[in-house]
Amino acid sequence: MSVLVECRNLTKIYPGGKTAVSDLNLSIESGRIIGLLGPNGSGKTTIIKMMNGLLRPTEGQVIIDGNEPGPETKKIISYLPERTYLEAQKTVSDILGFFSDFYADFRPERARQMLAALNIDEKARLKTLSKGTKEKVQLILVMSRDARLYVLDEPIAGVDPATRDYIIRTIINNYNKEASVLICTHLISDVEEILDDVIFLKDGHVVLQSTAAAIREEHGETVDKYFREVFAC
Amino acid sequence: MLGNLFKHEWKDSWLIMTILNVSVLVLSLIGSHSTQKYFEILEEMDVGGFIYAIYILLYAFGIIALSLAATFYFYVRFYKNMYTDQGYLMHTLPVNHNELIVSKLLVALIWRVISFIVIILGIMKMSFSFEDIIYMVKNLNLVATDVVLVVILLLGMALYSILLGYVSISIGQFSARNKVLASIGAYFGIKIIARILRSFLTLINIYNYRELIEKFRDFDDPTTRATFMLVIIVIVYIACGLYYFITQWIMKNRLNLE
Repeated sequence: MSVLVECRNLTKIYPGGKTAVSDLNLSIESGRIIGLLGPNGSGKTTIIKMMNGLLRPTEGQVIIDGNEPGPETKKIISYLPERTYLEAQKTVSDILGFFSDFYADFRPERARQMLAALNIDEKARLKTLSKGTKEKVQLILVMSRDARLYVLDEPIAGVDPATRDYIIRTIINNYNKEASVLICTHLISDVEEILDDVIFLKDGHVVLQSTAAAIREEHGETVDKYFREVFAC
Repeated sequence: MLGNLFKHEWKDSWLIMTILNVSVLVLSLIGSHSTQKYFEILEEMDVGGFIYAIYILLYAFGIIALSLAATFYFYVRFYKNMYTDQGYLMHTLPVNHNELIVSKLLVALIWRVISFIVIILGIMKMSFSFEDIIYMVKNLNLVATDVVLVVILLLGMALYSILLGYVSISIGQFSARNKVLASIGAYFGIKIIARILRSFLTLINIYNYRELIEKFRDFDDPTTRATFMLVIIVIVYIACGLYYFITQWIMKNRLNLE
């Protein structure tokens, strides 16, 4: 397994002086499903934004497949933000065309199959879809790419249990097996069974990086329970 | 990828811009020569002149409103695509910041040119016959250099206007509280600074604005006309370059989507 993502002495201080990430070092190997776990404000989203080139580090570096974030890394990262980023006026079909034009690894047929399975009309405008359906469309778009790294920011927050199951199934069934999946969430119990590795974050620092199996073996409890112990208020 | 960005920007904006421009044409046709006879009939009834005057006034307001709406539309598109939730998609496309800005700039510029032509045609249709226009153009005694420089100047002014919006919106992103209000503040702030700089240049006599304008009004000396326009062109394009650079720098180094 090769190192796909490397954060070296990564620091992000926002204007106003708030330190979101401080001197963080971590590496992510290819072919793994990793949980980036931490309470609110621990720096998860900031790290993800820096990986995607949406924020510039104050200090340090993020290296993805040998490159700093830019057009080359964006070709291989499939990113699901916690926001709905699609234009409401567009139809689902328009968006499929958009993704096909910009991402060489986008597989429209795979997306169409998933949309059909969920009875989502390709001709429907996004503004006519419910929030949950829009989130599903976004997940389908992201998982229909043969990316090297999938970065999913809170993919299961705020959705009903049935949708949650659907999302997890979609992730498992569709990701490129050579690739890594980085799932950022605080709902650990829902994703625990699919995680290979976990990274615990607190106040912008890595407090633990290990395999999920090792945590269960060493501490004799689930990752979710162990997380609650580490981050007990 | 610039081609793809351009294609999608065009696809997303053509309908609303076509509606705006067709509206200008329809307004112009209503008040054109061919319909003026109806106003003449009304004039005989002592109210025609008044009604036509009101119509001309409304037409002028309509043109201004449509022109402002078109400018505002591209500003809002830029803001939404780049700095709101849609930015999460636009800034994670495998393209660089220059491609993002240039694609938007080109589409906005093309629509500016189309709108300009439509408005000129509309005004001409309202006010003059074809023969009048030919007569006026002949009497301007323009040389080829004048035409080329005027086109370059008009394109520069259109670019300036678009980039002024882009740079103001980008500067507005530094505000933590109200980015829209900060963008509007930046817009008027830049305008005030530009005005102060112009006054300063006039004062130190590098850019003798009034004298050149007086000479230009004579329409006699092609060299003076060309010099005047070249000075303005250089200043306009320098400002465009500066606004572009600031916009690109903020997008690259200070992007902070909420």
